[in-house]
Amino acid sequence: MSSGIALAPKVPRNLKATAIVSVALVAACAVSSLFFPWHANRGPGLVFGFLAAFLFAFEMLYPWRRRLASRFLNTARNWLQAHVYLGVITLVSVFIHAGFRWPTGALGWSLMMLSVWTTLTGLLGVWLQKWIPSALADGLTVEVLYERIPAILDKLRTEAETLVENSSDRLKRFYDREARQSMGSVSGSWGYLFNVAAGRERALEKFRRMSQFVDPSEQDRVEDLMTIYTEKLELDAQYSLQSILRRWQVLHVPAAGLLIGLLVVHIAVWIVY
Amino acid sequence: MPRLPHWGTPDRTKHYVIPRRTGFYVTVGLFVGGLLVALLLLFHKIGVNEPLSAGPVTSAHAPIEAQCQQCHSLGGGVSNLRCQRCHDPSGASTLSTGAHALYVSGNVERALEAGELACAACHVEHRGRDHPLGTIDEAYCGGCHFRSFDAHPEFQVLRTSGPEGRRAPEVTGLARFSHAGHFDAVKKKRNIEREASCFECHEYDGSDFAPLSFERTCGTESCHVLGNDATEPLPLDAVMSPSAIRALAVAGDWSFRDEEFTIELGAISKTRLRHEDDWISFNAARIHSRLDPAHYVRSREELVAELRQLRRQQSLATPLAGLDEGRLRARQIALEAELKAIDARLAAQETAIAPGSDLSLVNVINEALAAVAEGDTRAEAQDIRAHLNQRASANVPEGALSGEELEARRDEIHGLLDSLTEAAPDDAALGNDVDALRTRVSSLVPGFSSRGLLESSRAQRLSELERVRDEISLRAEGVPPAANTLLLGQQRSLKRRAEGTLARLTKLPEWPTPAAPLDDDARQELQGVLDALTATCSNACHVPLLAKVSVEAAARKLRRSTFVHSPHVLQTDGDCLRCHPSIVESKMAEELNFEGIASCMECHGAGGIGDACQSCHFYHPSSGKW
Amino acid sequence: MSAIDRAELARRHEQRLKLLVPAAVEELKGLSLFSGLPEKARDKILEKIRQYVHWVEFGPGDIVLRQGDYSDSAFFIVSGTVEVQANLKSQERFAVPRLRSTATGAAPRELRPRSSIAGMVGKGQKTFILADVAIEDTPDSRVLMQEGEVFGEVAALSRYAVGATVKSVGTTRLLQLRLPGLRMLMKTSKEFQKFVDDRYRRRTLSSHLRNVDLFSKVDARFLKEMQERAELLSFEPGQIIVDEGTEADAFYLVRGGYVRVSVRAGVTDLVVTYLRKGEYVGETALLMNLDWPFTLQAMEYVELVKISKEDFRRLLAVAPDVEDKLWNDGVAQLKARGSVMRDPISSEYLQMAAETGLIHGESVLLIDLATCTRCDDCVRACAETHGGTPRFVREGYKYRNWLIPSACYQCTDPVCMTNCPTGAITREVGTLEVTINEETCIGCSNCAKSCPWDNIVMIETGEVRTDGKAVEVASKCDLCISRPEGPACVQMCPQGATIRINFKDIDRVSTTLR
Repeated sequence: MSSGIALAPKVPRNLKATAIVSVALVAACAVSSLFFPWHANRGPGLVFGFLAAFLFAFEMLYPWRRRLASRFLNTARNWLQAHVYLGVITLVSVFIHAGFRWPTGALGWSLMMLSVWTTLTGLLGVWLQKWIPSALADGLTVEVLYERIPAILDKLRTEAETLVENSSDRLKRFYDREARQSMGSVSGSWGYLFNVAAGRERALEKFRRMSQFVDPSEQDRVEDLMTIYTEKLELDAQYSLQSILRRWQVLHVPAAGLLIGLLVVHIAVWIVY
Repeated sequence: MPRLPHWGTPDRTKHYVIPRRTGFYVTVGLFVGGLLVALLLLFHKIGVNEPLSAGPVTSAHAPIEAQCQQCHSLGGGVSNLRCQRCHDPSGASTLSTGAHALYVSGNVERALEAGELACAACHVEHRGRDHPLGTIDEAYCGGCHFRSFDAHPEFQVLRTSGPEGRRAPEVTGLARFSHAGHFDAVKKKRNIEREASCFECHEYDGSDFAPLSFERTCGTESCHVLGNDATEPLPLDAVMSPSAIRALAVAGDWSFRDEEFTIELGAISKTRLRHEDDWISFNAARIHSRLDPAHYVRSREELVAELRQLRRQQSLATPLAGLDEGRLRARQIALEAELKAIDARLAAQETAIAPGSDLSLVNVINEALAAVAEGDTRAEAQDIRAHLNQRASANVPEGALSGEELEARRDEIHGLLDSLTEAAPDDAALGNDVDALRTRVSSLVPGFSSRGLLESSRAQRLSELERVRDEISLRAEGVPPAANTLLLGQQRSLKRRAEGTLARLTKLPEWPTPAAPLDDDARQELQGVLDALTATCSNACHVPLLAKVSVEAAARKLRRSTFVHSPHVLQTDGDCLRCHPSIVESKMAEELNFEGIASCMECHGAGGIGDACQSCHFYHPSSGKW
Repeated sequence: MSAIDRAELARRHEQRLKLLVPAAVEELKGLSLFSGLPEKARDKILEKIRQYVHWVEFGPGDIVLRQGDYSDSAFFIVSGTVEVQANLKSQERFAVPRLRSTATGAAPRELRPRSSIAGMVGKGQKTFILADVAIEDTPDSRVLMQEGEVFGEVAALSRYAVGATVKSVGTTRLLQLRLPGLRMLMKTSKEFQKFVDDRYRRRTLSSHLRNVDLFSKVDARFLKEMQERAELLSFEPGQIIVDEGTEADAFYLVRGGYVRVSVRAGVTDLVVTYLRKGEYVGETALLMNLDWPFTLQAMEYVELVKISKEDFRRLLAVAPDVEDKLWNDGVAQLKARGSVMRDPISSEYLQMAAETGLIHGESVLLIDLATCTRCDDCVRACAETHGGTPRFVREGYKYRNWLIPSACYQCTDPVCMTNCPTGAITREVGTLEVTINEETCIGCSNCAKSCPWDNIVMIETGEVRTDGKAVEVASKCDLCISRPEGPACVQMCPQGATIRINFKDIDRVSTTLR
């Protein structure tokens, strides 16, 4: 059940219109570049070169948004929207600047590759940040801070062990064999990205089958153990998905830094020579 | 009590959780970026420019690829100066936009207004070893001209000719020739139909038609054979006999055979005449020079001026590459001095009386005249002086002079200068000044004020100075001098042109000036002699006044483009009438017999074959002909 | 206050703690305060009340109650005189957030909140103060109270802010009667009850009535009559006030506490809405002559003003435009109730809000977990605003896709403020933010212990006390009162996943949480 009107809509209002206009523009430019080719240093190539450079500089300001928000754009949300949309426009500008030809030369090639990579990883990030939160919110009951996962896991483990402490040997052995190891540490898996409850049924099936073999008096314990184990699995899911969100930065940010460095060189060479 | 799942956080912390620092990856990114910048800077410093290059250069430029300064100048991009180091070493600016405009329109003013397009704007480098740098996409031409062949204007020679008959009298020269008549003659003589008889005269060698000449085309045994005609007897005081000519020892390659002449009763006649007969040419030139001396001298002067210009260019054609530091610097100093002088003269223009009336030299002559000693010449000198002063104080009309007025003025001034030379033939200094003045007056172009002339020479000196300065700075950076090989072509072409001019000059020998100007009777008599002398020529083909203008036989009328007949002959299978349909009816040589651009568009229309600009046009006049 | 340093404040507090001596029954018996208790039961009752009753002594100039403070005690003057000071210009005040004086002693700034933020966090809202002491409406008016007088009971019972500052003139000895004891007393001593009610009636009820927009234009004479005829009722937590289906015979105005409005559906009750102090109920039922369409239940200790049907009818006769307004509102209410009945699940959020106590909150931080990328930028921004330490933790209860983190709710009735010995935790009169002045907080952690949701955290300042223990101060969310742009958590979320809503605003709550 997603949020009400109070929050920003998940899909932006003018996505369709923007997409259509952009695609049309790009197609027009690409077609015209076939008939009236331009060099990156003249005419539309130069104009869009300037535009791309300016936009890259703006994109690079994003990490300082908290300090700049009071002066421009007001909220961090606006900054992110600007960063994403202008990022796509930047890539388009780069294509137009190059005249829709793959650049020759090491510098140009690297710049193009880095631009494409940075923008694509950025768009990957956009997808991740739309998909993962809703998976976490809708599919799980627990909600934890990433840094606190070990502490919470400790508490769960203590709880489980206390529960098992005063129970029958059978249950104790079952716990030792099936559950103790996995309760010991968080285990991440890529499978959680596609299904946040991956593997849960299979894991809980063991418990259900076990409950057949214990005394009726201990049925409750097994059920409680199941609940605890489910929470542990949810911790795993939280850990995996939040890790993905954090580690994604490795793909995007260093490439952006390299891109800015090369851009500086590119502009310097153009000015000097 | 079953254990319920927690909604939210299972175990709430008692303390605040300080969030992790986020700037890590940004710092890493910026650091790596900075490293890269530093690395590339280091590479650049030690001379490894490949990572910074925008791509490999075309194979012709590969030897100089490692040194960026061969083409790129600091803060100036790819300046034309650098291209010209190798591609225009003599500084003739044949590859400039101005040269293109001049080559195309023939209009000097347009050439000056043309502006400067960067070479690199169309010749884009760094596209790989196989990139054909010389081939330009016609989309670039569309930037200044029209965009498709359908918008191509009519040929200029057809545009300026009269609407009826498409004639261009000034182009064809002065011969009488009727295609229709010749078609009939060929049919009668050789029984060949019209459509197939073009090749009888126009020799096709598989690629194009050979240029027409009397000897090969007209003077064959079956057609116009000369040799049986003879002139009338002509008075010996008007024409010169071979022996007299030989005695003159005039420079030139004249050949006479005495047995062809008959001299009796003070008249000479030649019994065997040839095409371009030397004796007739010589005497016609001589008579012409007496009938219209001013015009004769003028033509001569023009040729002399052209030769002088070419010689100057030839001397300047020592490329900068061949000069060492010292000589480069000397040249720089000399150019700077010249520039200063021109600037001074330009500044003086401000206080000139009126455009085109720099009278300083006239004043010099005035003073010289005033200093002439007593005697017969004194009266003449006073006369001339009066004339000069009258001219000088006369109201100079506003605006430019029309062509005829200019010629009239020019004649006047030439006349005055001639009288001056006559009045004081021994004064060397005066002679020099008069010569200088005469040259300048000769080289005036209609519509050009002397200010314009000064400015154009200033521009030229300035561009030369820039080249010298650039060369000096490059040498200082350690860039080796440019290769000389491309210069040879330029030098050759200059030499060729100079030789041509010289040849034309020798055909107009210098005559001693007549003692007295002719009166009307004498003039008429002389004219009669001239007519008799050239009677045979006139009766055959030539129109009178042949001595004034030479015949250009079937000269290509296209000045700004090239045309090769062979693909068209192949395509039409030798059917000349496909493009020249009116030739069967053509009776006059002036007729162009060509339908114009419309006939080209039949096949070369947009989307058809070969409609790129480069199919017919060159941008640079001598491109491809290194 | 800033001139006094923390150590001195701590010392005074410790001293006072030592003096907080539960009174002995013998001493209490003789007080006039308890004269209303029936003879036989007096000892027993006093025995029960004893734990909530303390002797306190104040020196000259000491402040007993501060204007704007929240208090949970009534005070009975045993000996000495107190001075009541108020500098009210009027009884209404528009909230303008004001900076506290900073550590460097800079003068506080006046800030105008942006309208977009004002709606978000409840800044710029109207609020009003009830005077529980008869004060004339002149600036710097003073009233002296002598032995035998009681003050502070309205603030304690109704959980409004204290209306005026009470200072001790000379040395005074007071009997502090805490709220549970106060309630007990009111229940067992009719005389005491009457005494309290009379005072309320005389001093406070008319202004209370006037502040209800229904009666705002009614003329004073009528209101005075109302004053005398209105009934004052108290209810305990869980008590049913009216039952659904019974005849509607009165108009109720909530004086204090929370009232739950629900309809029966199936085996349970569906919560329609909840009422807080200043709100009223029953006007529609009286107007349309219906039975009670819903059940009213007290959620905690509730005080109501009851106006009978006839009086209400007479009121409507006197003010016809009031009647029009009521008709319009009535239709809207029926609609709301109808939609709740059609879609019971959709009112689940109200149930949740009532159970978890969110209804107290005037600026509750909610995080939409379906949009939140767990990047912690909100916490980071909060930390940056507050010198490196954030003021909330992103942990809490999860309702559907909403997380309710442990950030101060800025409650309407802030219980955290009741026991602060130095007044470090305050709410400026008429404003929304409950703020803690770090300089005067001595780290007694009363507030932290009182907060039912653990939204106040004790943090170390880095200083060390003379006895070697680290100095702690209490810290909590202050709605970024020092920031002109408003709360940093809301502004700095890149996804726009954070929101602050006022649970007074039912419409907003519905659209958000439904």
